[in-house]
Amino acid sequence: MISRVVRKIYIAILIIALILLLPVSMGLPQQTLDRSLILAFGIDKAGDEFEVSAQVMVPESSQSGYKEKREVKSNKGSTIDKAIASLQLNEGKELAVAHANILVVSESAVGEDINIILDYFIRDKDIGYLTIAITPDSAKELLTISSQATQDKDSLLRLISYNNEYIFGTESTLNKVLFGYYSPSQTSLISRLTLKGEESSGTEEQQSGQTGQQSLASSEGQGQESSTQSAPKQIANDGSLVILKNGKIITALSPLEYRGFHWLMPTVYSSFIELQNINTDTLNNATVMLDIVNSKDDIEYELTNDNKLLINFHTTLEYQISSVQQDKYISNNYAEYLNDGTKVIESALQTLIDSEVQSALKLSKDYQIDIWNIYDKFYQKYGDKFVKYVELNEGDYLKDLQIIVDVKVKESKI
Amino acid sequence: MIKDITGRQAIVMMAIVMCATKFFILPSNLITNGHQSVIYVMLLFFVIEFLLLLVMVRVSMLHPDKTFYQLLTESVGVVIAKIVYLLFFCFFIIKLSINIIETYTFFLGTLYDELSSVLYVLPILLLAFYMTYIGLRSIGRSAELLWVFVFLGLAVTLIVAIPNADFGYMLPIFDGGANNAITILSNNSLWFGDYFVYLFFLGKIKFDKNYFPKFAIISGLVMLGIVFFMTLFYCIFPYISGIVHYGVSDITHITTHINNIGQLDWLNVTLWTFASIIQTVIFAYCAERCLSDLFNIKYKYLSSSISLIILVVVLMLLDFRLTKLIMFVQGPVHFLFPVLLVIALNIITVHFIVRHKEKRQKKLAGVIYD
Repeated sequence: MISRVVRKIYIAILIIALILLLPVSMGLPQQTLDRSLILAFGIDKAGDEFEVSAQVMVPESSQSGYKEKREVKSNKGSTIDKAIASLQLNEGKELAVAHANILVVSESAVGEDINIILDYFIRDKDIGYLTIAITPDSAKELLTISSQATQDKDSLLRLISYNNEYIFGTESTLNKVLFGYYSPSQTSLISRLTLKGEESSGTEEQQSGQTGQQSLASSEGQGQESSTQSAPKQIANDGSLVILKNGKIITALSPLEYRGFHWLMPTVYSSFIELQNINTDTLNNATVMLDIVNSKDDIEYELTNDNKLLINFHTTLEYQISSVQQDKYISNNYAEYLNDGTKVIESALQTLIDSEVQSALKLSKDYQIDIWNIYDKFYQKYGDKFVKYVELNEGDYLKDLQIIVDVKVKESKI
Repeated sequence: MIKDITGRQAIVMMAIVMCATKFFILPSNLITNGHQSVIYVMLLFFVIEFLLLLVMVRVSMLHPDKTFYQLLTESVGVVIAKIVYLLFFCFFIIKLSINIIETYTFFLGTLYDELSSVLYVLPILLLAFYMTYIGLRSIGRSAELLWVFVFLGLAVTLIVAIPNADFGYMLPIFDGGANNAITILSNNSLWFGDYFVYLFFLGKIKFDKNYFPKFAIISGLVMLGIVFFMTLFYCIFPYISGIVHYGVSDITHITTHINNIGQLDWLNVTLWTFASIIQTVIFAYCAERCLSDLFNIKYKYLSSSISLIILVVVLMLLDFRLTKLIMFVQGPVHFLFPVLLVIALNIITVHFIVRHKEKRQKKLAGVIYD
């Protein structure tokens, strides 16, 4: 009896709840009336204060359809937290940060430790997965240009994450930066964006084919007849990376400098290599473009008996010749130039990789930056023995490091 | 005795209960200080748990018609049985608090900007009350219906995450010594011991064919799955596990983001809700059974209401805050699990001794009779 009554009561409660909740939820006002949707944050330093800029999405419905207008709002404060709190007050709306996925920090704001800035974004659990970029220019200006440039809200994100020519881009995300920061190597890499005031045709999104760098251009100046009259600034990613140690900027690596490091990274994806001054029976000071289509690596870490760190790097690369440039004449039909020339090309590629890896090693030693995460690799293999080695060398475990590069190359038949 | 659940339902419920709340904040809690050593120690720990669970299953098959309370009173007497039940009641109330606060914090951190604790808890408690009231059969059927979604979500999480893990971080083994890892695990011991719920299924299972091997395989796989998840979590977030709080959501979030799949984590969180709800309901059922046998309460709605009211008081004392919960669970009550473990081991040993004696007596009696 009681069982039946309880069941009936439950069904009644369920029906009443549905009847009450349905019109309530249907009649709720749109959330954008009391919330600002933030897509990106920019951090600059203004004197002793931080200037926090937020790229806010303003949804608008019009007769022509739904638009996603973006605006940049900014405020200053002694800490990031205070600046964002004031921003919220000024805005008069709650800042909804769940959609924020970009953080642009100006070099001046990084100061002695970028973690002072990142700390806020770690603690706010509503903030999504952040991709970080560092700019030598103003982060606010960069966000403003990005807001004006295009209707595609993800174009800035793509610009930070990918770089077409130099495919060796790193994962420039909050987690990856923090991973480097808290690891024994204390080394993090962050993508670098710059503002370039070059002349532009005023298109919404441009890709500069000659330099290979990707860029976003402001749409300011659009409608003017002559492209030379308008010179909107562009956001550019030339593939260079900022290196931080312990949260402080150490240097910026050009894409070619970084490529030396990248050979020892887990997988080398498809990438173009330019070999210059190739001389064969048929080529004279030619430039050959190779496309690396596959690679198989084997890296051995060894702490030798005479207490030296040694890395044996074996790699087998498969390449395809993309083009051959001889006397300003570019040919894709390279077979006409190459009889026995492939051996010369392969030898040149081996030399290039070895020299780039050795240059990267020199850079590592000069700046004491462990981009390869060597500490972890040796610690995983040698444990306390490696810790003692590090102590013996007063923390500078890179100074006696040697890398032996063994490159095998073969032409891809695909 | 009426059999409430089938063997299949018992296996499915145990599988869900054993892993539901182990993938929220526990990975971060354990690994932040214990690193990879915790995972190795946990593996050893699970081997012991697994063996103990198999003994429990064997006992349940030897006495298919006896409940845990009946077995207890027959082997150790009413007074000790009541004390054990009181301890188990406290255990399940704490487990319920862990489940509810952790899941609430998990939802707050992953799905919602704001989430009222009252609005979250009220429907959960009503559901727990209702499911407890209508009995184990309904809980078993629900689990049987939902387990596919739960484990599909888990399988997707693991598969998608594997390419992003660097398993080299599992070396060196017992980095920093095993003692530290054992201390960390014992401090967080109340996140374990979910398999105790099996004791409250005793006498209610209609055993299927090959029940024992099926149970052993599934529970073994679940335990290995938990260890593998912890390994993945550590190998993806080796130095930042302390700031990545929600294991199952963050692993999916980061891997889907890198691989450009989309926000699979929200789907995963939603699927994982099923596991959490089933666990809540099963713990509520166990708490109700404890209270009912402890004070001979005949009316289910009464014992269920009282146990849930006590739970609400505990939740209010903990202020719905995860930090308070962790301090509470790692502090004054963390001894509860080892105590129950020792009790369970002793009871099982006593039971086998008694059974052995009975068999011997019967055998002797048979010889004399012949």
